[in-house]
Amino acid sequence: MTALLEVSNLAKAFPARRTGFGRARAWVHAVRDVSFAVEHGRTLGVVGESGSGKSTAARLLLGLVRPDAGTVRLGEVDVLAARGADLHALRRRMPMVFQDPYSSLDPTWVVRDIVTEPLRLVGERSRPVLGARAEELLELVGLAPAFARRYPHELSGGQRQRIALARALACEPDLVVLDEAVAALDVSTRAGIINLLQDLQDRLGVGYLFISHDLALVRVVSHDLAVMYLGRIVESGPTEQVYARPAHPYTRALIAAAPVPDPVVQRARDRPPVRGEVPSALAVPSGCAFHTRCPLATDVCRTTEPPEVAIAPGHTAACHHTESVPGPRSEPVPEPVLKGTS
Amino acid sequence: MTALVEKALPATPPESAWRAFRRRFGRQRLAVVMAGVLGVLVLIAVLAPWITPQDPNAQTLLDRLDAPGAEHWLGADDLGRDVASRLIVATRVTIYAGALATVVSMVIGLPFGLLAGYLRGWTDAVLSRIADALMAIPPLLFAMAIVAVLGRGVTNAMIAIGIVTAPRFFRMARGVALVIREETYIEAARSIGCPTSTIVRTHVLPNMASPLIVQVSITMGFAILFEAGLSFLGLGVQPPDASWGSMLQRSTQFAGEAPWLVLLPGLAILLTVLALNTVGDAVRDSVGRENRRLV
Repeated sequence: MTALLEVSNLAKAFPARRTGFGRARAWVHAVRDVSFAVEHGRTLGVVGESGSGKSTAARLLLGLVRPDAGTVRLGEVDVLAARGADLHALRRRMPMVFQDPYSSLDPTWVVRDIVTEPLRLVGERSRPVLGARAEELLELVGLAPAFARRYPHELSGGQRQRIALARALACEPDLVVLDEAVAALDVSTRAGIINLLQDLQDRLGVGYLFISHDLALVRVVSHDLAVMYLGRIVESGPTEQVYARPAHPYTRALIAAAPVPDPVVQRARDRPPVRGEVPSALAVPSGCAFHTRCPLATDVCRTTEPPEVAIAPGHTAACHHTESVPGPRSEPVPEPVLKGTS
Repeated sequence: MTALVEKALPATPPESAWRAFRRRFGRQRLAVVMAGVLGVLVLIAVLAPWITPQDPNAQTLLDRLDAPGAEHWLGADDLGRDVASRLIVATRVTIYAGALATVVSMVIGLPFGLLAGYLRGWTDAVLSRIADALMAIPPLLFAMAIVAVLGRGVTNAMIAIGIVTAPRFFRMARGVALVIREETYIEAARSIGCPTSTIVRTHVLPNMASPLIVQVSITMGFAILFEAGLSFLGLGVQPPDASWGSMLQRSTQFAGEAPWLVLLPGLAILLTVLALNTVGDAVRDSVGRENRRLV
């Protein structure tokens, strides 16, 4: 069976500074050679610090931003080869939910029109049909039908994000791209949305591309995990496998940096071995992009880009020093902050 | 399962957009009065031929420069024509002139402004230069040139005014579209496969409603002033027909003997423009949602 979504060798650089003649003098390498796949009914979590290219990758998938290289296949269809109406139709098969629910809904529209917009775009005109479908969609995301007549400004952040999700589900897609979809919500609201996402996955069999900076959160929702650093995927594999045996020093640092709720355990833990800030994407370090902050860095890291090394079936890491990976972790794994709030 | 459901609604029952508008507009007393003034003016304009007390063009030379009184409620002009009747007929010309110029201006300026602001790049560069060039033309001179080519008359003069004021709509639409295009809801619309033309029509345009309303009211007041100016110069409405501007022009010669001849059309122009601007501002403040971020 082919993957639901298959992305290979995606790359995008944005022109940064321009000369007086409009030619780019510097490039921001937002996404460099990214490949991943999302399986039917499963969730791929993509984690990374801000500026690691996660959101750009999402926009490249939908063709909202044109990639410089790479292919995106949704089922059997090459997304990036599509143009015009074909591309528009493909976007409705993998809709996106955005980070900020306060700006992603048109303030001049009522909820009914917002959630049924995709249906009107495919030519549905009948008001009773649209009205009934709007109520169905609201029900699906756990909102009362009375919300249909509300304007977005009357609703809370969590309610708005449910509306955004309802709109995404309007055309019954196989895949939904969630770009930091819960990052702007407070913890209890976030728990509700996460539960809703999982419930919808169980009922409808949708696949998610779940983009987040929050590793603990991604661990709860994702079957598979991809860790991005400066536009590249440095490690990917089944979530529990990556968690139990993180092969890339950056993944290890991310896991170590996530706080543990128990203060005693938290104080006893090793400090993250990684210091400093993410280097500018304008000047990506040579060789392994992580060598400037890596505790294991050697000369080869500074000169040669590391190949992808198989750690276990389906688990790969791009590092020269994967042999120094410690065995299964004995340290307590940070519990997700979500627990008990739903 | 219950944890999933967020059935709670805001405490207040939903208020329709129209009722919210009426509530907010109603709080602005002056605007309500001015809206009434505009309503009366439009009514007068529509009913003009049937409500004049006398024939507006009938000359009774014996009544020349009569003061306001029983025979002529608002006096008579230098040819003995009834001022009240002429003011009423002129209302129609004025409203027609203002509306025509505004419609022409908006029809040209708004779509190009939306395109330039939303598409940016070359489209914007080219359209903006054209708008700049058009803005450099003095409206009065341009209107005189058009009238010289196409002939005298309010319609030609107002089309000319509409063309030269089009850059105002263009500038406004472009500026606001530049802001709106960066909003996430535009990207959200793109992400569900909304074609560009639909995005501009259904997302960008409704979100610029308030600045657009203000622009319409300002342009209309501006056009009425220009109609008065052109008629004053003899390029607008042609004798014996009346417009407020042409009445003002004739009467200046007799300002000393018959001040009401100057005052009445002048006040009519003042009141109309003031009413348009007040109502425009009040409508702007009353439409839209609580989280208006533009303007």
